[in-house]
Amino acid sequence: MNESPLFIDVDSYQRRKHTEHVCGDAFVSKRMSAEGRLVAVLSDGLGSGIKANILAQMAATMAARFTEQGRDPLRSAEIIMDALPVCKIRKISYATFSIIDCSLSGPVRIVEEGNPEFILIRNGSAVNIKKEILVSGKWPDRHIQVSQFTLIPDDRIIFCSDGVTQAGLGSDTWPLGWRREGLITFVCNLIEVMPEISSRNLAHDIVEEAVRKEPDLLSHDDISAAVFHFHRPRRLLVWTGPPFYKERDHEYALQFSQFRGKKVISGGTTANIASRELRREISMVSPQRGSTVPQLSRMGGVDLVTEGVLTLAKMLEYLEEEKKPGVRDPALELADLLLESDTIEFMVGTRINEAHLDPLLPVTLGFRRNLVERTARVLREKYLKEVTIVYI
Amino acid sequence: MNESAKKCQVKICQGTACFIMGASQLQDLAEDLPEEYRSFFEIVCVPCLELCNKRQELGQMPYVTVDGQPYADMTREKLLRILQLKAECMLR
Repeated sequence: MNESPLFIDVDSYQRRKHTEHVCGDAFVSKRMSAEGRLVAVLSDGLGSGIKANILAQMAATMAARFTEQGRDPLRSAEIIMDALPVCKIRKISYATFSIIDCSLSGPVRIVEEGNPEFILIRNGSAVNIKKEILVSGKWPDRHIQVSQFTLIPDDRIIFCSDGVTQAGLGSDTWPLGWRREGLITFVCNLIEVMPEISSRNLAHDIVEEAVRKEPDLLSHDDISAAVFHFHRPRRLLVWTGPPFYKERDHEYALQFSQFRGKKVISGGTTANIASRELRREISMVSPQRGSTVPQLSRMGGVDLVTEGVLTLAKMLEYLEEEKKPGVRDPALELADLLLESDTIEFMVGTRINEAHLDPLLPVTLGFRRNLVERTARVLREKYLKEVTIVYI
Repeated sequence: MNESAKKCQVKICQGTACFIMGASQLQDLAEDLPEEYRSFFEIVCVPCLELCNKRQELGQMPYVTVDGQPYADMTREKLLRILQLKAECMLR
């Protein structure tokens, strides 16, 4: 199984304007694993609601595509600004953009127009980066800011829409809004207390803190934040299913125990194999009312032990549909562990349990292999994780 | 029951097939045991008893073992009855 030297953990969080059905900001991202590169764009459409969302999506998608293709940033910006209409009265673009193009080897380029300036947090504090200002002959009032520098491990970059920096604007407590300075203080304090905070949680906390500054705790604009964390990958190994050849049980149990990172077992028979081969006790926790999957088990040296295909199917549902159950069930625990990891390795046993194929079962059980492959696909495409599957 | 007497070990399988065939209804069975019998038994749920490959001889899921003796096609009522009979034997 391969080990990446570094990883870019990226995630975003948004709250739509409270009077709208759709957020007028858009965030798109793409990881190009072969090149060790990531491109992402945050765009804020003028106004709010569905029209703003469409404009933001257009701008973000175009910007991401041009950047991926390596096009000149000024020319790309001109094409985007040409494509989107400009307000005749206010003379401002119908969509802003912040673009990041970064690689695992360190070089990063950020191109911004119209959004609050990005924030680089290094060694616990914000660092100013020199910017080059590009002015288009066609759009002299629109300044494109380009920053180029090299990332070092544990750097964090934050993008946000003006819904964050202008949170609370006009209120007694925040007459000028939260502002970039307020956001920096908040983020630095949070990182000091929780240095391992994931991009997912940091983006969420930024947006929720912005909402807390709004009058009546209602978002009066679309509020979006995206966080990029450049660090050593958080590794996770999920072993599900007994090995095809029983005589290799010990070999795979040993391999599992020696993995450097967090470890999950998903499957009762699998758990029994690990317990027997590694000579570790296994015990089930108390059942949880309202859960539709069997309860968790505990085993020394394993971060999570769940039942197999029922839990995997429910977990996949949570990942695909981003919905949360009423109770915190084992499937949600597993989904959260996957989302808190950067590189995920699945070790999938291929021994078939014929009892799962019994026509008398009241529900049709999914094949473990199919469930894992679908999970891998959604983790890669939707959550930009690096996922490998090994069949044993 | 004499405190030094060994408790009867009851294991309820919570493996995939057993769970959907009714083992989920057996998880909190101890609550329905008469109070005077509860100290006779140690009732635990286990991830898998690996009995489903013997269903031809044992019968359908869900499976329970009582002091190692497997029982198939278990329901809440059946298991309570089995444990009640077991308790009465232990009292004699």
